[in-house]
Amino acid sequence: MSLKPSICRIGPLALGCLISLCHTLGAHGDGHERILELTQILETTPGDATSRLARASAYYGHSQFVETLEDLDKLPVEIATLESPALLRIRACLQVHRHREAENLVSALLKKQPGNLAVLRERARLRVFQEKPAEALADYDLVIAASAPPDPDLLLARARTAAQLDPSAALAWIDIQLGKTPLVALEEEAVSLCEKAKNTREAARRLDLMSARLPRPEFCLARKARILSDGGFASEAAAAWRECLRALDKLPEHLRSQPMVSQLRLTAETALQPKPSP
Amino acid sequence: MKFAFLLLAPTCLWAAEPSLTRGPYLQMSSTTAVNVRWRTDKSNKGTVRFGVNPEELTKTYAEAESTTEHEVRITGLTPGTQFFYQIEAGNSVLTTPKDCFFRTPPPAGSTPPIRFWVLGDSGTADKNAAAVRDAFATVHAKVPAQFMIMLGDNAYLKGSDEDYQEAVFDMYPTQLRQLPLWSCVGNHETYSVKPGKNAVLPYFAMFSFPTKGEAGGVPSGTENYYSFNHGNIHFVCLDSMLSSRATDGAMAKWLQADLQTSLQPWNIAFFHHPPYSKGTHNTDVENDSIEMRKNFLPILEGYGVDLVLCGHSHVYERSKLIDGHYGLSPTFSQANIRDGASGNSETTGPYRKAAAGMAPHRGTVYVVEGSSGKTGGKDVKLNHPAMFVSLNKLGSLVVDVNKNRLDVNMLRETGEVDDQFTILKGAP
Repeated sequence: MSLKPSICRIGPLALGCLISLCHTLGAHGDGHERILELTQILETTPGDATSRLARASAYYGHSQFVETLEDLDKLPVEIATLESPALLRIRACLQVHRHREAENLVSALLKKQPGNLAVLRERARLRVFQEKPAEALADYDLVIAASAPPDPDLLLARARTAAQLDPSAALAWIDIQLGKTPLVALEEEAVSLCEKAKNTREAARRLDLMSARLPRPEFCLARKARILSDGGFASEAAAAWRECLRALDKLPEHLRSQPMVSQLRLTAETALQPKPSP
Repeated sequence: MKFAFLLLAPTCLWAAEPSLTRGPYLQMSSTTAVNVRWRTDKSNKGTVRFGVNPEELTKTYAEAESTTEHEVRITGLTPGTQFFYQIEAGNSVLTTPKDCFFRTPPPAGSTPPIRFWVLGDSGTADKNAAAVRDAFATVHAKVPAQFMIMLGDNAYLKGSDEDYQEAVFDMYPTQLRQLPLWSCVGNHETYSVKPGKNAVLPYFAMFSFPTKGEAGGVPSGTENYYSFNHGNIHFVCLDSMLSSRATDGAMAKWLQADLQTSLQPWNIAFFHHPPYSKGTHNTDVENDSIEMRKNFLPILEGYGVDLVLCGHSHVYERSKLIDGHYGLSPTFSQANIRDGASGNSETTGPYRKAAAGMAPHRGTVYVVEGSSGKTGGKDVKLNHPAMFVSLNKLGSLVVDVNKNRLDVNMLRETGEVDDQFTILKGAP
């Protein structure tokens, strides 16, 4: 299908659908060959907006962000300012650190569609790049509140941004989220935040909560033992290693012979051996 | 006037009865529960009547609200048991137990034989897809499968509700009534959200996947990726399209926690974009495949995943038993091969993995099955060095797991088996 510049005469909704279809067509076949194919089309019909946008999208898929932007530059303004191509441009701009341009595009899109979650999410990312975490949090919160259920990556991004401002507040927010949905990525993030803050006991407490929910707690207990050991809590670390060994003993026979389980047992037993006196 | 009313009345009453326009189809099957979903043309409060005897469906689950999009989660089922069901709308019976039945997964840790069917890129809604389906139906009639997996791009071109009706619900009506369906998201599933609508993708609206570990595994908090158990197999479904593919992303964190706590001897992963392919896609140049290979394969192999199933490339490609190849295809070397033979039980013998359970870096077989709806045309190269077999032919996979033995058959649309391999775990 080849769509000529006359596309500009049709309504915005139909245009949106055509752009979505163009994205679809752009996804067929080997991406590299698809770019060559589209390049051939564009050599003979440089005004073919659909092919231009498809190639921009294909370039983005290949991390060729400058080429993406060059193709988007050549789109008729009526198409370039629609949501899909504008979002593609924002994402490409963020990749090549053209933050001011991304800012302008985000503002223009939000003026047209103030509650557009995809755009708000990009603005949050932009604020992170601009080292404005407080503003990023405000956008993340808007997107999270409107998403049901929120994407775990979004929650993780929000937690990491919050930690830049105030790790304690980030932990409190993570706990609220975990109250709604236990999410292992957030639990891990909380443990890492505690570790960074040298709050060993809190990290260990959180690992206890995690291990209580897991069908196999031994790896979680081993991590707890290592954190306690690194934090200088030798006797508590030893208790955690013993707990880990008890968990290993409870595993079904076919799992006890697994190499990674045998390795963990060896690690735990070694850690529990009395240290030679200096 | 009165006469005219009497004449019209039966017609009107008949017209008022809801009828099925989609399904029923089965979702989120666990040892004790399953979701039954269906669509009707008119809003009504639906009921699922079910039991172990088709002549005597003794239990019912009724919806509280009227709707056209019906979903009932049946709980309290017995593991490893065949159940029959029928769908009702008021006094109307919309389906009968004759062709509506399913088997709950066996109890966790038990080892009865398991068969499942795998389709990839099947969404063409044409005679190719029908031929692949019919070849499976013949096999299924002899030894029935217990569930089915779709590897994404289930409905071309845009994964819209209409596309799905044609390519999935009208294409596999019998299978969907009997085999719980699991799926991963492909690129074509993501092409139908209208700009500015903040809408949920049709794929996520029509399917129910576990977010809270409802069918086993660690809760993922999202339907984009999840895990489930079936007998002695742990399945991991990843999202290579929409979720972050970064090593510090939520999916990678979840995957690590999930595999670390798997209790099953067999571990199988599936996602849309293949880590290795030289079919209609070239995994040396496409970001999604490169990132899955670089960031996720070390986790999968590090926890001893046995089999990885993907689609996207409209061919069939099947690797040797390999490990540790995360770069571009020219860097694939002998060092990556754990067993370079066929794995065919009748010729060179099965692949053997010494450890009975999950063991890191003992070898994984990667299968691209993206040819359940179309093939790749004449120009596909099919020369990825990791592959033992590469075919530009239509087909689907029939996978059997029986205790410590896993068999994969590439079933052509003709009914022939063009590739077969076996993995044995534990001491010979």
